[in-house]
Amino acid sequence: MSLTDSTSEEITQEVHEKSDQMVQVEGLKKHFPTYKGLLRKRAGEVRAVDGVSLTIGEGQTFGLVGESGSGKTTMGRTMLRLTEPTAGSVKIDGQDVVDLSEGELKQFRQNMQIVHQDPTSSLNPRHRVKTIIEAPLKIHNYGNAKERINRIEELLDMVDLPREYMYRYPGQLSGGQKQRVGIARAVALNPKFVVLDEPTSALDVSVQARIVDILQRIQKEYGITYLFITHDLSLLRNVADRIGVMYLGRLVEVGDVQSVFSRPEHPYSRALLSAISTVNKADEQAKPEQQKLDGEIPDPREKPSGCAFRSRCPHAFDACSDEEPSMYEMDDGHVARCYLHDDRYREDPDW
Amino acid sequence: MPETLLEVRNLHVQFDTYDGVAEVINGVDFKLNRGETAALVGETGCGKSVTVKSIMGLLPGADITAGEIIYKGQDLLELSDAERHARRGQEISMIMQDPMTSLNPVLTVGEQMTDVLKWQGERRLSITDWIQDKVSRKSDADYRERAIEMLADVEISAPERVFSSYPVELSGGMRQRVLIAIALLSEPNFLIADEPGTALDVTTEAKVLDLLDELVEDRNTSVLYITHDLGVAREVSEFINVMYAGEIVEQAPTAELFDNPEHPYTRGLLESIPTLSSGIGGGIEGHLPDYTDPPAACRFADRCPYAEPKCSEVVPYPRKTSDDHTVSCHLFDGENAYDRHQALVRENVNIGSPPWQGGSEDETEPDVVADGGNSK
Repeated sequence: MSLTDSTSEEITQEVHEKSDQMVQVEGLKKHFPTYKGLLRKRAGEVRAVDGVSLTIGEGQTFGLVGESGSGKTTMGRTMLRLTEPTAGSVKIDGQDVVDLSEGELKQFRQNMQIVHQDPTSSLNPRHRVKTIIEAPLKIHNYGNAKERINRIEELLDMVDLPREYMYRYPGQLSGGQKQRVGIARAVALNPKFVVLDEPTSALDVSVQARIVDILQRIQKEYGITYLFITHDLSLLRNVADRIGVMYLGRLVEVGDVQSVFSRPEHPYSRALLSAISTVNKADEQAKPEQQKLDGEIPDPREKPSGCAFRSRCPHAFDACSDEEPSMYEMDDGHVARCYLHDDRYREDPDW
Repeated sequence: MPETLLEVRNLHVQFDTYDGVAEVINGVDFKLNRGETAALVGETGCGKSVTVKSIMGLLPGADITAGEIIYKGQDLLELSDAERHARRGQEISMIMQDPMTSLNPVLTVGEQMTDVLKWQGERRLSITDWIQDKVSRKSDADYRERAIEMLADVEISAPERVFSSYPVELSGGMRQRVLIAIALLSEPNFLIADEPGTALDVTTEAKVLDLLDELVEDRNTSVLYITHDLGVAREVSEFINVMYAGEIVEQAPTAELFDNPEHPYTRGLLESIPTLSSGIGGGIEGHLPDYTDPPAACRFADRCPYAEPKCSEVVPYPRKTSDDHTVSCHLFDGENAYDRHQALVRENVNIGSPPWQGGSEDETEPDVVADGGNSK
């Protein structure tokens, strides 16, 4: 394990030189102003996403994991410019999304789509499935009416829904079926990049497994790049190629899925992994020993100084409160933002 | 022989809907021993919440058409409203599902806790009772002390502050702890925990479950966990009842269930759970049957990969496959299905001829079928 004191920026620079990156995010920030008092005076800001850099290779799945309030959903939405970023750049297939004008952005949206968390509230209850899936096709002038119907049939086949469901309303479908409609809508225009924002967390496990299967099949067939946002680490173990662990708007650990799961290098990732409930003995052995964290994720308006995780970290020491640690590189691109990997502070290598 | 605390026998619950009568609970049987922790596991809409609400007597719109809920030797369904009320929250307590909505947002945590202590067992408050209480405020200090003690027991670090906080001022994990504290205030013998921790983050959930485990251990409380998560059930309970579409399809001690799952639904469910070491299965095709028009025999038959014609004709009564492992599936044979069969005969349900009348054939045939199911 080589411990180099390189910054996250340097690491991402290196990765950028590879040409097969579909998505390149650089120092992305999204700050929401907060107001208080009768006159709505600006009181401060919530740094929901605070300087995140990541890259996703073409046809790969990047898993973004974190607890509620970690900024993972804001991250996904800001990458697609569904909320305007405060700073940073997002390149999708070489095109900087942040620079696009309104009109250009609308055109470009056919390349990047999203599947929302709650299948019920993300489908218009007054529209039939046909109208819902047809909307993106119409907006982007896809063929004539007949060609659109053909495409919708093709999409319904793709997500394992009977074709006659085209004429149903969302209220007549089960949760899993609604989510299939959401997926069909997202992939209707053959996008290059799709953000999956907790696509299965509102569903039962038996349905989740079906949806994951469909998502993986579509990815294989069309080479779509996914950003898979979830709080479920065991799920990510099965769907992601690389994963990033987010805490209070910052990535604290990024690496290949194998590497992060077999050797989590940040205390937070380790605690998350240890909290997974398991259904067999092999899994029980595969996860780290149970580690209890103090308290809960702090109010993002009152982030601790230095390392944001130090208020809950079982290993925190003085240096953690002074300055935020940079990303330390372990091996093959596995990085963790923790002073325990700094030679200056590393006393106990087996923490 | 452990003492049985609660026994639910052949419970049937129906709801009248615009689409007809929904037979939501269709003959649920299970037992809970004193000091035991058991789990009722099933997916959304399988009737697990309806089952426990029948135990609590919190189902105003429902029609309990048959069955017995025997708690400490007494059938709860035969008690008067007043008698049930006296047990609710005292003998039998429940942690409600959603920590975000189960607390009253306009009362402080302290008010909600002292109300429990002050009025427990009282069914209706007269206005004079209430005025008297407001005027005298005699023993509020005692209640306060007891409530703060309980908050400290659930590992809330600043119990005084939380006591005078409104629920919105607390995080999800704190609210869940407050709910646990309220449920344990009256030292119940039997606690129902409906999806405790489901609404929380994994790290918080793990802590809350550990805490609950310690608290009930100390008090020797029997707990029935309601959860959709087999992983959670595995960690917290000693015995698991798997529910599907208003019926219990499999019952076994936790370790036995995970080592040797028998019912095709349990197996499908287990295979659907993403694991760290062995991937993720393909899930279960299809969805829950319509409760207003359920399948006549096995309610899982339409989704079952091993279904045979018999499955949609003959009700799969529960059968024992080992001492304490019971499964309701034609793939498995057993001699002890007698009691359940008798119960169904009393209700004039056509369930075909019982297995013990089938002759010597029964000895061999089901084994073959069971093997076929296992090897697929």
